[in-house]
Amino acid sequence: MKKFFRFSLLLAIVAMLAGTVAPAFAQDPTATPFEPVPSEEGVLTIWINLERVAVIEEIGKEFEAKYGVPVRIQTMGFGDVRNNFNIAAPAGEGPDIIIGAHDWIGQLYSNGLLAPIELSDELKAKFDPVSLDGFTYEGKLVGLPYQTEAVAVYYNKDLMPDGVPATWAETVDLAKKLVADGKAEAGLGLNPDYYHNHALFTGFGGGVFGRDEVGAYDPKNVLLDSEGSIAAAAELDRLVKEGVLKDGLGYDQLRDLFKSGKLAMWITGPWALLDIRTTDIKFGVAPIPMMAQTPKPFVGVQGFMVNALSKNLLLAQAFLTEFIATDENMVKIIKAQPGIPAYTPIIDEVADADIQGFAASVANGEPMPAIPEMSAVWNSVGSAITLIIQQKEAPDKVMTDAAKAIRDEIAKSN
Amino acid sequence: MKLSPLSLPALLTRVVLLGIFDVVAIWMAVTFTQRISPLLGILIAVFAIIVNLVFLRDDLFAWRWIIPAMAGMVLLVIYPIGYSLIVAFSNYGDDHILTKEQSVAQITQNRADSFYEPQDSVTYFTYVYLRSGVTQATQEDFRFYLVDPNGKSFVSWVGLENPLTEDDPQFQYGERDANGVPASINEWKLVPPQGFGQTLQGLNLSAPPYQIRLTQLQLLQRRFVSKQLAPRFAYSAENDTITDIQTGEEYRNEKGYFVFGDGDTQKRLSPGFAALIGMDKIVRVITDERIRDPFFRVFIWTIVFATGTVFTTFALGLIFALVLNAKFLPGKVIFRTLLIIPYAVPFWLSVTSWRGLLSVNGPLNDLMVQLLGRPVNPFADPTSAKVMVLLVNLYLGFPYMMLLSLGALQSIPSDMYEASMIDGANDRQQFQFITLPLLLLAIGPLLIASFAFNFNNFVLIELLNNGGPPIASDTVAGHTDILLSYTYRLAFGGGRGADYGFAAAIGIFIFLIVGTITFFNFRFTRQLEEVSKNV
Repeated sequence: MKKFFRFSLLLAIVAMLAGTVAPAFAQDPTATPFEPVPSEEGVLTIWINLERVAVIEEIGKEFEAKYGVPVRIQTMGFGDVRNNFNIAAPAGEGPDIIIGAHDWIGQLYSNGLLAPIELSDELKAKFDPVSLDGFTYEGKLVGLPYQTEAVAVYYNKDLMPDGVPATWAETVDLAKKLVADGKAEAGLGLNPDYYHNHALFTGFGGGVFGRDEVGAYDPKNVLLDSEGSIAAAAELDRLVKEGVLKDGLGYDQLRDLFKSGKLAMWITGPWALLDIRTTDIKFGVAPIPMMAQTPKPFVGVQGFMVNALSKNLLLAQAFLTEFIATDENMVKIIKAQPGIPAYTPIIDEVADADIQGFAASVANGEPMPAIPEMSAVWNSVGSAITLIIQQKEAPDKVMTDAAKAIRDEIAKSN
Repeated sequence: MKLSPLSLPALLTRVVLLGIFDVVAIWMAVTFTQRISPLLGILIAVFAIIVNLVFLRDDLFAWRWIIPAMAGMVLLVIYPIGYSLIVAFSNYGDDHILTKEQSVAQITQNRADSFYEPQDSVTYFTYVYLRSGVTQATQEDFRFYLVDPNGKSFVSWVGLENPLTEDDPQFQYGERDANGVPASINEWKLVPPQGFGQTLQGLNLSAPPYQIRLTQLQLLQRRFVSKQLAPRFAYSAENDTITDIQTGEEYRNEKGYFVFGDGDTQKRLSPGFAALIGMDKIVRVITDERIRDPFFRVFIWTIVFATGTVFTTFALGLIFALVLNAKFLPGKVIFRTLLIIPYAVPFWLSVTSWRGLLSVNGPLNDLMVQLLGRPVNPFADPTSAKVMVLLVNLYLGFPYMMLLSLGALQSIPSDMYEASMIDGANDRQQFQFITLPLLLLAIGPLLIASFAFNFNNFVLIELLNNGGPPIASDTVAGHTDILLSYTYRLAFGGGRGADYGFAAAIGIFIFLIVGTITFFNFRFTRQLEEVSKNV
């Protein structure tokens, strides 16, 4: 009996262990409480994150009224759309359309899960070229963009009545002066991750991946230890040494500082807009000031993608090109939540001064690489930037190490 | 064992319960077979049959209580381990998500480059007609009215060798609209095209030497656009190769891709598919120095973290338990309730709260600024980050240990203390020779369980500080990463996205490590039990 007791105890422990290990590797969709609503003939199924659900539902109802095809919406968390789609679609349980970010396409198209979308030249001309560029993979358009976004400078108008200076050097000086005069607790806020810092890297002549002859990002051409990237890292190092950038200030901390009027300038994207507008802070949005070269922030593009294994493939494509890509519905989508429209004919109708500020930043930007190799970049360069901010290692060394590790990683996984 | 014959109600109850069980089991077996894994479905079916046998035959009575345990072990332990093992020998992950059949179908049928448009290809506006009275339509139930760019019209359907011209005498048309499109062809009626996605998907109207395929749906005009296309690839099941018809290149099946050529000039067809590829992933875990080098430091910290947590939570839990167990303490219930709160609050909520509390402009740091004149950032420094992780886990873990100890303390017979007092033992001696050994005997196995749990306490690390601060920019490991969070970073931050095969390979190594440690821990508790026999 004792032996049996010990056996069952062991069993319980092993089971618990397996239970803790297994979720990390869990692959089957039933392991999560999520129950996908799959594609079904004659019904358009759309998976969407929690934003803009109401407007898509409304558009879906109009579509049903006009063409007799019901549109069914399933909502889930933003990252969940991608992960669930990646698992459910191959099992035939994916929807017809997903709404998400353009940097998913590398993974999803390589996995064989996205169908190309064809736009007439006339329709193409109505979209911001950077948004189409973002949704183009291996020469094919695999998403219909509706919104772009890029980081820009939020500035506190009470502290900076003259706005953001034209050049980076002046901006940094102003940031220092505001702190020295005791007007602000911090002059300039910049998240310690590569996404927010890409503008700085390109402004100093660096970047992450070079482009090939057709303009696509080339994973074999890593630029992170180029002269320009190292100069950008050295600039970060200088900013820390001169007290402009401080360790430990992530997105939440910077947001709180800016909302309480203690931070003069904050470099981040339009997602913070609604939150800041809940305060009385008078603020403006300006593109990132000129550096040695024009800083090109990463442009993220939001759009609609069609499941390659959909049961309504042509219908889904027609829904996007004929119904969504119209002035009327694009205005509705953008008005539901402020953003920069990728569909340019409507810009004056939907953009206020803040959105125009972000639009100016998008105009300078380049799409965030959608190639799957990008997943090797975030961690290493994020660590490199954190190490600089924490003053643990020299800027040139962290960049060389990171570039080497990324090249290794890319070579190994191909 | 001789059993008394069952009374009728007992027999009825048994049959009914078994019937309910069978319904559930059959439902599970069928759904699992169809939707998840046939193997799992078969396992469940076999288990259900055995249960029926055991409960219906009295001579198998002894097995009744063992069978559920066995089934639980197979389903919850052996099957996942086996599954992980298989995945470890595969390339399953991004780029290799589809099955081979799906991948072949994508390459030869569904991708934009599966077909090419020949120079002399003709594009048609295509109207769809469905035979009257059909409810469950198949492709054969349709007729298609094709209008070419010159306005010339044809009628075609699946299986017809060549499209027939409009004026073929067999057709009688209904009323025509402004564009000349008829409302019916014989008994086939014009229908809006949008409702027949899957049915018409892959429609292939013969038009030698090409195929007419639907390429676009035009909702407003209620028609499709179709084109004469030629297939680009041909799959040969016999050779398991895909041939590019235009160039004659033959792509062979190699490790989850169809490839042509070798070395740097090798070309492969996308998308790849999941396949068993042998030892590649396991070899990579052992040989890749970028993984091996941080492995040991991560391993050491994992051990420190897990043992440290068990030790600190047990010590603090025990102290509180001893205090709460003291007879003189008033208001015991209130204290006990308050002390259990950290255990009752959802785990992730506590951890994210601590993350906020400890951040640079969080409330604890306001205090630090008052006291030290400068903020302290426990997320930046390796040592303070490690201390922080241990302290937060102590906060989360001590109530559990306290509850266990309270229970175990009650079960120590008070006559032992009385006897020891007569022998002249003081409080310290009582604790050292009576309380602690008997307590450890009771909760020793649970301490091991706690160790194993914390060894893999991924959620805490990931939620609290993502394993930071970074060690260096050329490794994904951070100073507080434990093996499991390190694995997660390796497997999901790789050069091509998520690599489940690789994750499973590392998972097997972790399983071996934890298994070994647990084995030795049990040896240790057994020794403890032997000691206790002499107490």
